[in-house]
Amino acid sequence: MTGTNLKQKVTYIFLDSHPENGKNYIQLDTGAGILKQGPMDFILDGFARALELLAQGDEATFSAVAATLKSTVLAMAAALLLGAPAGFCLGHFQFRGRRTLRLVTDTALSFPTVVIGLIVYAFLTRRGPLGDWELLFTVPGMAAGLAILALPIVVSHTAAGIEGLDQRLRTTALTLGASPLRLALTTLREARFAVILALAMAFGRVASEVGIAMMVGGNIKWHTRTITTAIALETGKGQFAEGIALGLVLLAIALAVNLLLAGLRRRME
Amino acid sequence: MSALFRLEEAVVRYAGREILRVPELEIAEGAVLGLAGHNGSGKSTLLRLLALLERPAQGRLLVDGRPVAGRELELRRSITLLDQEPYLLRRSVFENVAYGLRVRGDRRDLGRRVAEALAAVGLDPDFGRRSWRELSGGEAQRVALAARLALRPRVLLLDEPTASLDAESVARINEAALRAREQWGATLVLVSHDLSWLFELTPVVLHLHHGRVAGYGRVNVLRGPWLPEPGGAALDLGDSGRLLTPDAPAPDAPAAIDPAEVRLLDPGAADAANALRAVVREIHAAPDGPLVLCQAGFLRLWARPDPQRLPAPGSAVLLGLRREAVRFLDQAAPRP
Repeated sequence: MTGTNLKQKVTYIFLDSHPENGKNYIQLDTGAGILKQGPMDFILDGFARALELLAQGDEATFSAVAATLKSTVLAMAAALLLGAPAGFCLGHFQFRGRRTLRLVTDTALSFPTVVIGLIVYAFLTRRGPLGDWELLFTVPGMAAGLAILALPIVVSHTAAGIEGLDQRLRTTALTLGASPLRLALTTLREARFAVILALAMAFGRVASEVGIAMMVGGNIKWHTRTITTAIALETGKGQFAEGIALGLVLLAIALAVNLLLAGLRRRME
Repeated sequence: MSALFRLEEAVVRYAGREILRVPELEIAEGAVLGLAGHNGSGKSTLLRLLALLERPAQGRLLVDGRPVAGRELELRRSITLLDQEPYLLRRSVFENVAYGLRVRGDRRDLGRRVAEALAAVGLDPDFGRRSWRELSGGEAQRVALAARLALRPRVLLLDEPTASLDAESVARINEAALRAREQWGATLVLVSHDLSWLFELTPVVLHLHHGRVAGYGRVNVLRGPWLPEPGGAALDLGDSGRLLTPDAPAPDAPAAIDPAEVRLLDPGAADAANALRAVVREIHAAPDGPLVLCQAGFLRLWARPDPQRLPAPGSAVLLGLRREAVRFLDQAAPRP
């Protein structure tokens, strides 16, 4: 491997205790000499290096950010389009089997992500029932898995929001002359904060997800490597700066999305 | 011409339990009807029946002489209900008042009509900009009434509209409701446990007790405890005497007395049978003649005095009642 990246030349890592204070320290043999670092230094250095990477517009970092944004947006769009109406119907209408369905969606909230990853992998693999769609190790394939993760969150919390609405809303809308369709739309509008909260929660899970992205996406550099899978990989390699840089980006995205939702909520009041 | 509402042997049940039974009731177009009774008497249920929010489990409800089925939406657009604690939509006051007009697709002069409706309940048009969160209980009630008045409904059903309001809000609501009747001939059905409020607005009050119609007009409703007595039962009123009644079906059976049956006797006529010593508390100028509220022991009784010989408030009177004037409600046949 060529280039000037310091970390790519690491050949040995020594753990030793310092002769003066007895604390553990790390020796890095970079080929160009031995670096000695204290216990906090490598984290702080990681931060400084992370900011440097972001400022320089490191391509690998931005590729991971792009993969995360693409898969998250696709997954959230699917979860919103399918989950919000489903959650609304589950909360608004009375029908046979409604309680059972609610139990299923509530249980699905605690579905382990690796199991979702496993199932989606099994479906999308060449031998699987949807193998012909060739979605395994692609961003849409990853998004499908993430949407399955987000769906119960959106459905369950939207339904709970609708169920939690004041019973008088129905009477009020009906006695003011609302048709059944209008009543449904008014109910959805009254529950808008619950829907927004459901989306914020689903986004939090989807953006921070590793298992599905790793299994279904395959963590392919420049392609399906997302922020979280990249952090897992870089940390495993001891590349803290890249990990921290990606972590900072993920936090910034989360902050931006939540600011957007909070602003939306304020506007709706 | 057929009555606006007609109930025939209508029964409402919740979870298999009968909570209202109305053998026959007609409400004419433009009438002002009061519904009175204690908690759980079925008065709000009757109002919900008229608002087409409930369906009779038995019997039927006719509007304009025709069954309701299939016309619910069309009828609901001319009948509107104001709940005791109204729900405001999570939007501005303006949008709350405009909601009913918008659902009708009637956006003509929306701003002016909303402002008029707000003015009718004593609120400034600028009030429309407020959020649903920023209102006091009385303001919320007035906004909710404005939302109904904006529709110029044919029927306005008000459920305890003054239950938790200050005197000014009560006066505004009375005024607005009566104006709706004057301006476009709205039929008003008012539910309240506050009889003096109801009688300020109408002499026609239907009394409900445990889901049954107990009587019409101004009726005294008594709840015992009835003590056994030779030839019937009695209510012990301490120093005021004993009210003798026919046989009570149960110690706490409800009974009704028509105020016209309660005579005001001279305090000297001590030999009168079934006489109670009482004090005049209030005199009401009801639309159908004066009424006197008397206190005998723990009992408050309405009496209809001779208009020529009104007693003074605070004066001591003797109330004369025939034993048969006390009608136990489970046995009483409601007058149509």
